[in-house]
Formats: sequence, structure tokens, C-alpha cells
Amino acid sequence: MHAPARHAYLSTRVSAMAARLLSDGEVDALIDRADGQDDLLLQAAGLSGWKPEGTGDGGLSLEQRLIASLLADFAILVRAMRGAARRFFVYWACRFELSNLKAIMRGKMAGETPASIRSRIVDMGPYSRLPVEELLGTQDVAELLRRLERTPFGAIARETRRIFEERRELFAMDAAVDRRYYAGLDLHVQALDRSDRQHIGGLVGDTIDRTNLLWLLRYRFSYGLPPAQTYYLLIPAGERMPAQLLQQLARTESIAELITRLPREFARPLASVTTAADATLVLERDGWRRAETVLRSRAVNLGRVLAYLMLREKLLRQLRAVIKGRRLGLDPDLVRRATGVMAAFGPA
Amino acid sequence: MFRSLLMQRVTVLVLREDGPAVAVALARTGAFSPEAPESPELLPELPGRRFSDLYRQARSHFEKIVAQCPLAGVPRGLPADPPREAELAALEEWLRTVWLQCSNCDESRRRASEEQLYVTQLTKMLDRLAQLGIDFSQLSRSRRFLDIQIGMVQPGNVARLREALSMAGYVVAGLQSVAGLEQVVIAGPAGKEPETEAVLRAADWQPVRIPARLSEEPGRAHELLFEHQQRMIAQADARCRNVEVLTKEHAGRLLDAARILDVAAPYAELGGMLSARGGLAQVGGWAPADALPGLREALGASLGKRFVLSARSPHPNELARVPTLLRHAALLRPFAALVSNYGVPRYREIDPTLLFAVTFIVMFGMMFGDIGNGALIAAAGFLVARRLHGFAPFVVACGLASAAFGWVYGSVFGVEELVHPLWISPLADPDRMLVMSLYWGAGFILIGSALTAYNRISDGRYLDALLDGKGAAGIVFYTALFYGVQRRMLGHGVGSVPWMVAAGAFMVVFAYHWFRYAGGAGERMLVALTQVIHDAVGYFSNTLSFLRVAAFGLNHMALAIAVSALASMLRSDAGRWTILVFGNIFIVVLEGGIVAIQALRLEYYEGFSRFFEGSGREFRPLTLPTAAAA
Repeated sequence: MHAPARHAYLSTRVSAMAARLLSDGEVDALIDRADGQDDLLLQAAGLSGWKPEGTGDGGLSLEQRLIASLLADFAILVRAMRGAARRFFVYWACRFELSNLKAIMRGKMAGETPASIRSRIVDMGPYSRLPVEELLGTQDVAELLRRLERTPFGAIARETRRIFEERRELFAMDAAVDRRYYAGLDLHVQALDRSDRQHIGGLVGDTIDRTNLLWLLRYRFSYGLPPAQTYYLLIPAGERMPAQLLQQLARTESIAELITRLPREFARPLASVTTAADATLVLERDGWRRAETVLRSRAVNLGRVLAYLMLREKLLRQLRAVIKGRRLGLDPDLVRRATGVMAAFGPA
Repeated sequence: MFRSLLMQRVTVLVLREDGPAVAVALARTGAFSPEAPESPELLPELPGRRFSDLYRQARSHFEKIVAQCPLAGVPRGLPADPPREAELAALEEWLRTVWLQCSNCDESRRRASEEQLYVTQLTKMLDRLAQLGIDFSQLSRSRRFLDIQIGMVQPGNVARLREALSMAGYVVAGLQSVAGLEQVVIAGPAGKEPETEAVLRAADWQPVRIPARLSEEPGRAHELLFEHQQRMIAQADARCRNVEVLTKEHAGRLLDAARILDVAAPYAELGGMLSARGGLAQVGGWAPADALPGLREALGASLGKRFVLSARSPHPNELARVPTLLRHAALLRPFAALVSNYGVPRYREIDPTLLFAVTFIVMFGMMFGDIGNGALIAAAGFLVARRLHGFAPFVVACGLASAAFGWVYGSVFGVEELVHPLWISPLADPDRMLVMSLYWGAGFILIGSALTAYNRISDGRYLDALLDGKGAAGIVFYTALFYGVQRRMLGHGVGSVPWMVAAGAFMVVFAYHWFRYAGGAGERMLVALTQVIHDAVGYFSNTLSFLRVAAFGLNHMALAIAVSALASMLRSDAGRWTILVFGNIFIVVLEGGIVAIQALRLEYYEGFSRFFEGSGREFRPLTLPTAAAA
């Protein structure tokens, strides 16, 4: 069966769900609204019944509710998939489980109580593979890693054990987990059939390129890591930045020099950037723009599903920034910058 | 029998310090299902929260200890009172200490096994170097201009490592693969070690350090490595023996801990559901109306007069969250399990268990009617009752129904000459069998639709019950059409009355959906028409689905005749009996299984999907752990 016939239902479903995404203008308007006037917009975003001032129903934190909302959409979409496409999307959602894993490892290393760590855990429902309660009940990090070795995350546990025993570096652990995740994502893309690979691969490759670029800037210029280590820590995949280019970029000595060597589509938006933090905002915005283009296209393919999920996640992050900004009484312009609705750098 | 027990919303007000005792008293009744407080702002404190956390941790340690060193007996009887928070904290601390020692044993075993792997790899590497004629003592020597290191990495990391190290002027050469790891030698200009170290760490590099003693006595390398390995294993064993001694020493205390944790369980489960302010605490939940006197009695026995219990019927807006409690006779329990596999009835929704049991057994009999095969199934149900874990009544009932219909069809192991049929042999008149199965299906669907209407009336959805395609209007439509078709089949013509009644009912359902949906005229027309056609097609296809009842009855007879015919073709008695025995076993096991699945399918898809939502919440009472209660 051809892709349009196979994915007609999903594509229709995505079109219906996409109506709940808010434009940057609507998010901008949300920032200026007084407290208690958000109901209509939140309802339009499919988040009716929210209580932005509190922690929400059922004792869930704001982050947990946002991710639960995203996972609810994900569950509807993935239900209609099968085979390699389903495995790809389930793996994509695994990122939230990896956040749970990081939260548990960090919490255990910091000696937090199980209740305190549990308050940050996102319920993955039927897609959960992590024995959260068993891990929370462990006495120390050594026992945690021993138990983790018996789960599908065994390889991560073995790698993390050495990092923990030798250096106790949280950064190194996070980097190892993230690198494995993205490399796995690329492997799942390769397992898709040709048509799906073409549509999803573009978005995933673009995401990996941007992530590599961000990590490169961060490792090389914020953490001051040597070129060889910086290169090793990057994801061995991507769309427009092959290994040779990444090696060259890792050898650069300044952000300005690095930008001059980038492919044009990355160099242009980053032209006026001077710090890694600024680059993060610009690259994220650019990535969302690409996802919007894919979502708006009339083609019937799985790329639209991924684009929708990415944009939904973006919206939920924006809402979190708006709500947190309000709680902390931050300047609206600062919230605008954090949400990406105000162009702070480069062309809008 | 057809509905869940009447529930009451119960609120118990007590003194704050009586919270643990209330939890145990309520758990002893096994008739109280706690629920989160209704107005948390009035009683904002949760005095059981820390107790609950402590319990969870203590239980976790306890279970891990017991998994490693089983208890020396069965904990029996409970302490009179649950532990105080401080006592539970002390118990948790002690269990933590014991578990830490167990955990040390685990950890040293893991290290010993890693060491074993390391020694294996080192041995293989020494062998490989010997094959290549390389003196390993030379490799471990430090040099002024050259840095050489030997280590192991995951095979997937080698290519990336080679690329990254080339940036620092290093070359990477693989030696061999051992136990899932790649043994690798790296060499490059001295002075770049800090940069390469960082890369190697990121690549999860495991350096192979050749012990100095091996370099001094290369001839004894294998012997020395073996000795080292044995020492590690002995150390781990010694540590684990300590744990065994420790748990034996504390066997009595661990049994006490089991009892204390069991009696603490109800209060820990209440955790965030017991709310308080100052000295007053409150717990709310659901209990069957007929259990209220028992609840009062249990609380009175534990607290004297220091409690206030109030109960009320659920408000209409609470009906969706009232839990469902069904009580079934032992014979019906296997059928109830199959119903709950589909879903739990909502509170006051019709419980379909009895209807399911009767119709399932009848359909099984109709599809698998044979005195001999039925008797075999019933006998098997009796003989292996214990292994069927409560499902014996189900198997026996299916067997008896099969035997009864065998009488109706006049079939004994497919032989039709032994018993005269009470009705007909299926193969004698297949058309009649098919017509009968349609009548059965129509009756089944009409009962299902009537139950749908009844459930909707119970929910207060009167218009849905009367005017929807699955309500009374749908029943009229279906009955009229079925009657008309039946007249036609009997050669009388459909007649104008059935047509007019069916068309009228069709219009009623259409009008109902038309007025129900907002939107433009075109959109409403499309929605209403789609809905009505969907309902009509549903009735038609659901009815046809019941043709399988006759089809499987015919299929069974044909299969039995085929086995008999095969047997009769053989000349030897032994061959004939072998075919008959194995043929009938094949029929009972394979066809019996298929028929059971088909009957279940008809129940779920043509029956339950019509009238049974199954979205209820099961009644889960606060209980004491069974081992302790014993």
C-alpha cells in the first residue's frame, strides 16, 4: 500500500489536532493577559481545565501535566501505527523516560528521598519500560545501577557505572545518555521503509544537526573541552553536517570562526550570535520553523506526525514559560524571549 | 443478581492520634474503599504522609532482604496496634542496615564477576600478543616520545574513537573481540595524554593494565591471573556468608518485622487520604450499604465512642466514580472473570454475568452439539478441576451443554445412528439450522438493545434511551424489518405495515440526531444520515454474524463424519480405533477451542459492545495482607 493510503487516517488526525496549536502571536497575547483570562486560549490549545496558578490536579507538577498532555496526543497517534513506524515513534517518546532515568540517577546521587524524586517523575503509562518504583526503592547508586542493568537500559547502566565510580560527573552521564538516545533515533530512522525514511529522516536529521551544533558550541566554548573530545561527544549522524565537517568545526577556536565554516542554512541565522545560549534560541526557532513547514504541507506522510509532536512540545514549553514567568513576576519581554516569540537575534 | 451492591459515601471523623487504629479497624472489615478527601482545603494536613513514605521504604528493604534470604517461617497473627511513626522509622533504619549488608554481598559478587571477565580478557590478550610475537612487558613501559595504551571498548565505539583520536595524531588498531568487547591498541605522540584521556573516558574505554608481577614473571602469567581470580571469588563468598549468618541471627526479628509491616499497611495505604486539622482527622470512602453496621461495630470495638461515622447515598454527579461491587455465586465466578476481562460494569449498570453465562453455554452447545464429545469435556472439567483454577464449572457447563445439544442433534462422536435426535440432525436440513441461528441472533440483539435502553434510563439519559438507534426507536426499526424479512422468507411478501413502521422509526432516529447536533444544515444532514445508516448496517451485520452458530454446528458434524469415514476405510481394528480416538481428541481440543473463541467473540462484539460500557471502577477495599490475617 502506498504511503498516502497508509497514512490517510493519521494525516487527517494530525490536521485536526494541529488546529489546537497556537501561533506565536497567540502565545504573545497570552503573555500580556491578566491572570484568569487564559481559559479560552488554553481551551483552544486542548488544555481546558488547567489551573495555571496551582500545581494542578492530582498533585502533578506543571511539567508532569504538560508532558502527560503531550503523551495523550502521542498515544492517539501511535495507536494507528504498526511495524517500524510505530517502533520509531515509541522510541521517540522514550526521551521522556530517559528524563525520568536522569531524574532518578541525579536524585539518588544527591541523596534525595524517594518521595522527592517521585514528584518529578512523568508517568509514561503503557509505554513505560523503566521499573520506577523498584529503582526508587534502591539504597544507593550502586544498587540502582545493578537493578538498572536488568532492564532495557542495561547498556546505559554499564556505561554510567564507570562514569559514576571513576568521576561522579553528572554532565558526562547526561551526555552519554543523550548521545545514545540520538544515535538510537537515527538507527530507528534507518529501519523505516523508504518513503517514511525520506519524510521522517529529514526532520530527525535536521534535529540532530541542530543538537550537534548546540553541543559543539557548548562543549567547545562554554566548557572548553579539547577538539578530539568535543568531536567524540557529538552524535554520529545528521543530515547536512558530515563527520569531516564536524571535525573541522571542533577544531575552530572561536564562535565567529565556527559560524563562518557552517553550511549556509545554519550560518545565516547565527550570523549575529556571540554566545552558545543565544545560539540555542536561534537554532530552536529555526527548527520549529522547519517543522511548521512540514506540518503545513498537504502531503500525506508520517513526517507531519513528527512535526506535529515537535510543535506540540514547543507549545507546551512556551506555556510553561508563560506560567512560570507569571508566577515569578518576570518582565514580559524576558518571557517573550524565553518562549521564542520575540526575535532577539538574527532575522525574524 | 443483575446489579452491583448499593453503595454509601462514608465519612469517619476521629481524633488525629487514632488514625492508625481507624485504618486497621476499617481494613479488618474488608468493606471500605478509601477515596481522596472531598474538600482538602478544610482539612489541609496529611498526617499519614510520612508514615506512608517510611512504610514504603521499609517494605522495599524487607522484600529485597527476603528475596535474598527467605524468612525462616510464616508470619502469623498481628500485633494489636499498628506501630507509631517513630517505631516504624526505627524499623526502617534497621532494615536498611541489614539490606546494606545484603547489598554489599550483591555488589562484591558483581565485582567478582567483572573481575573474572577482566581476567579472561587479559588472558586472551596475552595469548594474542604471544601469537604476534610481541613482548607485553615492553608495551607497558613508558616512553619519551611515544604513548601506547591497550584497552577495551564497545565494538560500536571503535570507528568513532578512531576518528576522534586521529584529531590528536593517534592511530587505533584492533587486536581481537573478546566477550562482546573489542581489544584495541592506541598509539600516538607523547604529550597529548590529557586530550586523549578525555576522549577515552567518553568512549567508555577500559584500560588493560598489565600487573607488574606479570611483567616480571611472564612464564607464570596464566597461573598468577588464576590465583587472583580465585582470591576475588573467595572474598565475595566470605562477604555473602556474613549475610547468611546475619539473617539467620535475625530470623526472629525479621518475622516480627513482617508482622509489624502487615499491620502498618492499611494506615500507609490511607497515606494521603486521611486529612486532618489540629486534633481532628477525617477519612472518606465508599462502602456497601449492607456493610455499614459492620463498619460501626469494628470502629466501636477499636475506638469506643471516639468516632463519628456518617453515610449518605451518592449524589448524581458522583455516579461516575462510585466503585462497583458485585457478588457472584461460586459457579458464576469463571463467567464473571470473562466479563471483567471486557470491563467492569459502571455503578448500577446491569451486570451481564448471568446473561453471559446462559447465552455462552447455549451457544457453545449449539455450535458443538455431541453427546460423546460433550461428555469428554465435562469429564475433563471434573478430573482436572484443581488445575483449572476455578474455571472447572465453566468447562463442565460447556461439556454438559454440548452433550445436551448432542441429544437434540442425535450425535454421539459424530455417529448419528445410535441416538434418535430430539429435533433434527444439522446436516439433514442446513437451511433450517441457518434460519434458527438468525432467530437466536435477533433475540440476542433485541435483549442487548433493551438492556442498552434500560442502562440509559438508569443514567437519566431518557432521550437517548427512547430515540437513539440503539434505544427503543432502534428496537422498533429492527423488529419491524426483521418481521418483514421473515414474512418474505415465508413467501408472504414484506407487507406495507413493517415497511411503514421501520421507515417511521428510521425517521425518528434521523430527526433525533438532526436536532442533537449543532452546525449548518449540510453538516447536520451528513452527521444524522451517517449515524442512522451506521445503526441500520450494524443491526444487519450483527444479525448475519450469528449465522456462525449454525455454521459451526454443521462444521462439527461434517468433521465428525470425516473422522468416521477415515476410520471405516481402514481394515485393521487397531488402525480404526487409533483414527477414531485421535480424531476425536483433535475435534475436542481444536474445534472445541475455536467454538469457545467464537462464542466469546459473539458475546463481546455483538452483545457487550451494544449494551455494556464496562467503564466502571472496581471496588478495592482497604485490607490487611492475607498472610498476616491468617
